[in-house]
Amino acid sequence: MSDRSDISVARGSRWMAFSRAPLLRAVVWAAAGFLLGAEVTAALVSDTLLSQDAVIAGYALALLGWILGIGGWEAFVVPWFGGEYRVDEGTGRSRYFRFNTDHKVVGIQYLVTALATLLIAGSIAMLMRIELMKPGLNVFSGPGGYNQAVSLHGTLMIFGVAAVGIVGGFGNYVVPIMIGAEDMAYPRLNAVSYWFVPMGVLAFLAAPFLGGWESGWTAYPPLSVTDGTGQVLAVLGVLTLGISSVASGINLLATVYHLRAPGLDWRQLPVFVWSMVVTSVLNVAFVPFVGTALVLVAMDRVAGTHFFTKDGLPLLYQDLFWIFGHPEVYILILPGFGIVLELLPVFARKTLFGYKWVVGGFLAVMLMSMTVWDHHMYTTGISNARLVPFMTTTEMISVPTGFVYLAALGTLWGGRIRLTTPMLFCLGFLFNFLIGGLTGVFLADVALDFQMQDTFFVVAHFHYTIMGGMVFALIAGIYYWFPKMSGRMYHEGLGRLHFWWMFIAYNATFLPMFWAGVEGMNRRVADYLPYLQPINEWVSAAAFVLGASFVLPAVHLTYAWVRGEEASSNPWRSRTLEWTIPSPPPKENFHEPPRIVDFYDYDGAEDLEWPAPSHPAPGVPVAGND
Amino acid sequence: MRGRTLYPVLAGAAWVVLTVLAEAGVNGLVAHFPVVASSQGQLIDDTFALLLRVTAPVFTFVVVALAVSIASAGEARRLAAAGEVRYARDNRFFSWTWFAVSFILNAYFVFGPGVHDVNAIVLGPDQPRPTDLVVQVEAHQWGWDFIYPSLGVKSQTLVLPVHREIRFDVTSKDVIHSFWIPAFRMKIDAVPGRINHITVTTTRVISTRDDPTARVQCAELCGIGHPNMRAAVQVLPPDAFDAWVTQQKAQQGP
Ligand code: HEM
Ligand SMILES: [Cu+2]
Repeated sequence: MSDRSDISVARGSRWMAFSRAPLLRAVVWAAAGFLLGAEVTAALVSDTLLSQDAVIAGYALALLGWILGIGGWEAFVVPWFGGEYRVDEGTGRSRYFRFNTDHKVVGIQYLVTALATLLIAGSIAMLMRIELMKPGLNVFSGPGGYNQAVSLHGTLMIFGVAAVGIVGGFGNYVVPIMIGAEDMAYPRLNAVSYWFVPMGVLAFLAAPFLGGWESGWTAYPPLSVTDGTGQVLAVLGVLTLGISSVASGINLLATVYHLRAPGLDWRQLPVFVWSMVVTSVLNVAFVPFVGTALVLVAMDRVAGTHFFTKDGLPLLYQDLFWIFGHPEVYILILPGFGIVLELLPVFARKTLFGYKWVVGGFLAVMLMSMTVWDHHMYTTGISNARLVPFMTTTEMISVPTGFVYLAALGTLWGGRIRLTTPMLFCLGFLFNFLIGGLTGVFLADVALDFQMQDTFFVVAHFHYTIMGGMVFALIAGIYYWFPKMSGRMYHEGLGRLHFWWMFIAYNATFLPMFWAGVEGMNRRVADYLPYLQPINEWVSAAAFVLGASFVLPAVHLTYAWVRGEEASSNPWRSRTLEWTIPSPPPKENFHEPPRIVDFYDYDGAEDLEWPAPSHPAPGVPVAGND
Repeated sequence: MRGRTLYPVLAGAAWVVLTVLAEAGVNGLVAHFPVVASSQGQLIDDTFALLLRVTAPVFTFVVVALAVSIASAGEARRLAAAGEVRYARDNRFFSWTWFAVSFILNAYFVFGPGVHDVNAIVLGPDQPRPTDLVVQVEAHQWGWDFIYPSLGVKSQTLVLPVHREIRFDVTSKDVIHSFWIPAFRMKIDAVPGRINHITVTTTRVISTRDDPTARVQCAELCGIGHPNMRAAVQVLPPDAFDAWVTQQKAQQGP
């Protein structure tokens, strides 16, 4: 964390030194906030310090302290009272540990946070697979440990990885550049959106210290009203991440709406930008539903309101949750579609096929995703009148989703394909999501769902879409934009090794899970009957190989970030705007107004030589500001 | 020029071959489905098999298209090097055919097996329908009670007569559970404060002892005891069932 900043040292007081380590200040203020809130509540309500009321009040002040401490004080409070905006945003590496309004810094902050969370939640999955190797094992201390682990794994993955990885990471880093803008529309809002994320993730991670929570990522009451105190931290964490998602959704929409370079029409927007637009609409419109549902759960817990228990309606929660929850899964996957379709033309050296089908498909998916939520509730005893309509919308949403494949296959067919690492991950995505999507057709069928609901068939299905889909796309994006973001190249051989290792281990782990479900293995169980042991042993063994595959890119990319060969500004001979500026880009992105071209016109484009010549082509600028 | 016709032909052939193989694979899977012990379950298995058969060619189509695209990349490169290329931005025939086929397939899923099965399994309006036997199922953390109101019997194992239509009235005393018998392929949630119904027609004599899929298993996360929230199931010939009822009555008193 070297700090080469030269501003604001002059006064040299201790206070200044302290405020120049904002992360430290944020931690101290957060801790103070927590103690204050929790102590006062404990005293007033005469509860213990770690009772749920105290934790809620403490967390609220901790979040406030955290945000103010990291720079919210200088960024919002001081200017509000007429002062100047004077946040020391740092330079070099230290920027990443500060309140920083550069969208590229924020993008990398998001990306690294999401990847760290992925590793943590993945490690928890490893523990779960140890537990599931044999019936009768008990690797978690105390009863309920497995339920807590499933809950933590799922919640971290959905809210801390899948929802923020691509949108926060590449949405921030790439979208403004792709549309020729200097930054996001609201840079301060952007910076603060990011700083909510680590706090939300920490709330989840702290839950086990308060007894964890056992209700899964879905937190259905009445169970979520009666389980451990950790449940309130899960609620608070989701709310925190939810606020961040809504804020960044608004920001992305405003950015694309207002900041497109002159001459860049909606009909020319890169498909990745389109995917961010539809995702943001869903974020802004539907995240509030889960907020509402969870606030009511919290009130049932601490205020005895019984929205969902006693005379209340437990199923009302499920409606609220899935009105959010189903758009949410498209929030997770649409960015993946965006990345894959953005990359295919580059590595096939061929015009994107069916641009209009893609954009139309995105918009149709966005609209239709609002109409399918009851397919999560077929077996809850909802009115029979709800079954067929929701089955219809659910099956039909695969039509616009299929347009992604229409475009992908149309682009690849006859293309000059180069199997670089990002391309391999895109192709892996197309294979995995095909399985995830087709098995969705099965689950959409009411009758089949009577059997499959809450079995490992479902677990396999959603891992195929989220992990095999969204995470593969995320990784494709990481390798693709790595040279742009770091200014350096990764090692192509190691990248390919990573792909094949992960792709094979991934399918070996999750394909058999479908069959485990067919054979009668239900989900969220620490234990099962002995006849299910062989298949679980296989799945666990494969899962460990899969888990190990994450070590390779972690080491490789960290090394490459520091020591990799210097990258040219456009190693992929790509046509979108981020490749017209240096790697890494200067703070203001464009020194001169960007020239808008047809981003997908690869007619007559030169073949992509790859492995690339090891030295940047002469005359291509290399230096950025890092 | 050769590649222009070679690769589509190759792809077509590969598609046919792979689809035949995939269908054979589907038959293999279907042959290994776990034992099914209810007529509704048979219906569900049939639909499962049908969907597998219909989606298999879709799967192989995409896989073949990907594989052939990769395999023909060298040819594409030669073509491009040889002269000017103009890559298609769309192809009306291909795109609209794609759209029509996917629309028709999905409409078929809904209005073919989808609606048919809903009608066969849950039937019309929400009121429960008359059946041969009603069993009240009460779930609690963590166990099951089965009450036979017409017979005056209460039991912790689920004992049923074969070849009868049985309605389960399912509820819960605390949190949400789910009443699932894998061998019947049917489940319904046990929700506190309401009674949900499913109807099952038993088709074979079976018991948990012979086949572990013939068990009641809680399928909705309900707390610490969730994985072990099971109950034994016995489907008996009618006379054996009557004998069981008599014996239970004797044990439980009037
Ligand atoms: C590293 C590889 C992974 C392995 C081995 C793994 C394994 C598992 C297992 C064993 C379960 C619990 C099944 C059960 O008992 O119900 C589970 C649940 C889940 N996983 Fe993963 N997983 C992995 C990665 C991911 C990723 C990348 C995501 C999403 C980004 C994800 C999202 C979820 C969710 C949402 C649940 C459901 C949690 C719940 O039931 O509430 N997983 N995973
Ligand atoms: Cu239960």
